[in-house]
Amino acid sequence: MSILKVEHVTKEFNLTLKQRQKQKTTAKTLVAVNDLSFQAEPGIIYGLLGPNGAGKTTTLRMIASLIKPKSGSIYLDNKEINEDIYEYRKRIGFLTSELKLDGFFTPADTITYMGKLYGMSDEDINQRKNILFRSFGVDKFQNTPIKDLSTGMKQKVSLAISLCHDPDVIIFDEPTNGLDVIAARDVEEFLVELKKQNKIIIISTHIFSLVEKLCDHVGIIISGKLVYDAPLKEIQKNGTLEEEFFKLYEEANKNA
Amino acid sequence: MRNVLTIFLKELKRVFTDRRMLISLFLPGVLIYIVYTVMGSVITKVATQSSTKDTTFQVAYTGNFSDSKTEGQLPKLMSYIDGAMKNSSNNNSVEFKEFTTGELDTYKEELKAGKYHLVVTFTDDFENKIADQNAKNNVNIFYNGDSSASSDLYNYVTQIVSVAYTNYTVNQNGQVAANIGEKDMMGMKIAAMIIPMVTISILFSTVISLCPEAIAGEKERGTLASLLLTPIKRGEFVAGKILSLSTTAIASGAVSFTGLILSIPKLMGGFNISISPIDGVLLFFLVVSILLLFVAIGVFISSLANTVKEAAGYLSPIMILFMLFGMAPSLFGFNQWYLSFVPILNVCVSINALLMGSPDLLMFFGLTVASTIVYTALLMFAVTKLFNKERVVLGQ
Repeated sequence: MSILKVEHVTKEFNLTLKQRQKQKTTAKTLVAVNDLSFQAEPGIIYGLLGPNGAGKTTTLRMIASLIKPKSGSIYLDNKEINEDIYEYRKRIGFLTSELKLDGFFTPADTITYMGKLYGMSDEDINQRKNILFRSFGVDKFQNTPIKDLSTGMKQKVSLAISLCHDPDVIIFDEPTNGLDVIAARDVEEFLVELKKQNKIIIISTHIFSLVEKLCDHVGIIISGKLVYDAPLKEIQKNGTLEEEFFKLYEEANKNA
Repeated sequence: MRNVLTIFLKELKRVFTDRRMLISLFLPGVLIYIVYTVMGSVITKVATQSSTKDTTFQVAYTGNFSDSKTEGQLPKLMSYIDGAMKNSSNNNSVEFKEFTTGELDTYKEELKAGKYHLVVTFTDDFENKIADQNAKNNVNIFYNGDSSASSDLYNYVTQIVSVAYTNYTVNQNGQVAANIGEKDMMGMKIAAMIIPMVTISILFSTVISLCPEAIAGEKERGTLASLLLTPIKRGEFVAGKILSLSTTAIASGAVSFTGLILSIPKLMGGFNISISPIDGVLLFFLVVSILLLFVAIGVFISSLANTVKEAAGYLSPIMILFMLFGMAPSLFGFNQWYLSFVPILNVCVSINALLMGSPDLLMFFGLTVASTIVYTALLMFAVTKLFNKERVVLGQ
């Protein structure tokens, strides 16, 4: 069984003089993620919950191999990801709610382009394109320039393209951020569908209801530290997720 | 009115507190002043000064000189030229040969063959008639445009004639063709000053219109991170970008450059400017090599910027600086071999030498093209390293 393990990961960013002045600090570095460890398994949705600036996106970017941790390691199937980063990248899909597509091209052009970068054959690309475009309802618009599509349709195209290589690990940063209710529901349904396909799914969010609705496991991250990591049902034993979150938040601030 | 003032002040604050904005707004103005000042001095230098040194000019002249000329004496104009040459810092001297009017065609042939630098014919009794306001006086001055020395002397003598005589025409006001050569070195000298500079501005403009959009634009749209998450190597990504940008830039640059070459004769008016097919091929290699380097520079600079606007703001002043390199060979008369290793300047020196008819294949085309390609490769390597930096990839 595939398991994604994050072990004692720390990430620091250098602060520019301007950033130091803005944050009223003399420190030259900012610890964005501090000794963070957790693991995600297939068929469950792991929710990384935390306020803005807590380090959620940085953590997901490290898992996606977009940035490297200062210390600590990430493993997939007990293999450190940097041992064969290119092979690892074939197995992950990094999605964000922010649109990341070039409006000049059509969905069909874009999925073909991305599929080729993932080393897929033309036959595989066409097969995946048909499956994904049909399931997301993009097939009718596949030859329309992306800039001419509605926001909801652009989001669906973005999701379809991020999954063109059929990744084992789905990393989704703020999945419903900025979406209207219909598009948000489509995304939620899509995540449930991926869960059924036994994918490893990690999402980051600051929305309690989304975690309660979708996630099986929750990790609470505050100021770069993982202060809670357990099944959702466990945290809900003593109260609502929101109540327990704020207890942890206040405790973390006292200790800071 | 208050709201207008609020918006006005806010916009001013936006501009005058942004260092990058200030640089992109005001640096070009400063650089244009420098470029135009340098350009003015170059044009003056090219137009008025002779680059010919340590030469004994051969001048043949004819004219039935009467009272003013006695046996063994030179006519007044020739005396002026002789005196001016002796006082010149270029260590030139001049030898004169008088011939009869009937021998003109023979001497013109010898001028073309390079035996003489100038052939001068005066109307009969020229120096006495010149005092008569109603007399028709003319001096024909023939030079060989294929020879830089002959062109220089022609330019020099026509200036002396304008000082020595007031009631005259030169070459019957242009009715007589002065240049008996096939080229026109004076025109080529001016073209050699203008072409490198214009070439650089044309090629770099292409780069400014392509690179910021292709690199900083990817960052600005957020598509760069998506691409770098795929299993492609950073080096492959950079090579792919530079290759596609170079292809587009070469296509665009070729059209612009052809337009420039075709327009040069029109731009240079009366000068007889021509570039041989071999020179054209050499010029093509120089242009392609510098274009590749420009693309690499454009990609490198655009990688450091977070937006298209920011990248274009960085590249514009760089273009003006490079244009100065274009004028440098005419200004300083560069011909040292080690300049073949100075990027951009080496190509400008080579284009200049090519147009002036003195290309050194090893120095100007071997070393220049090779070193330019090496610099391009080094920059590509640097860009690949840049793309491994998180600040560059994420634009933070």
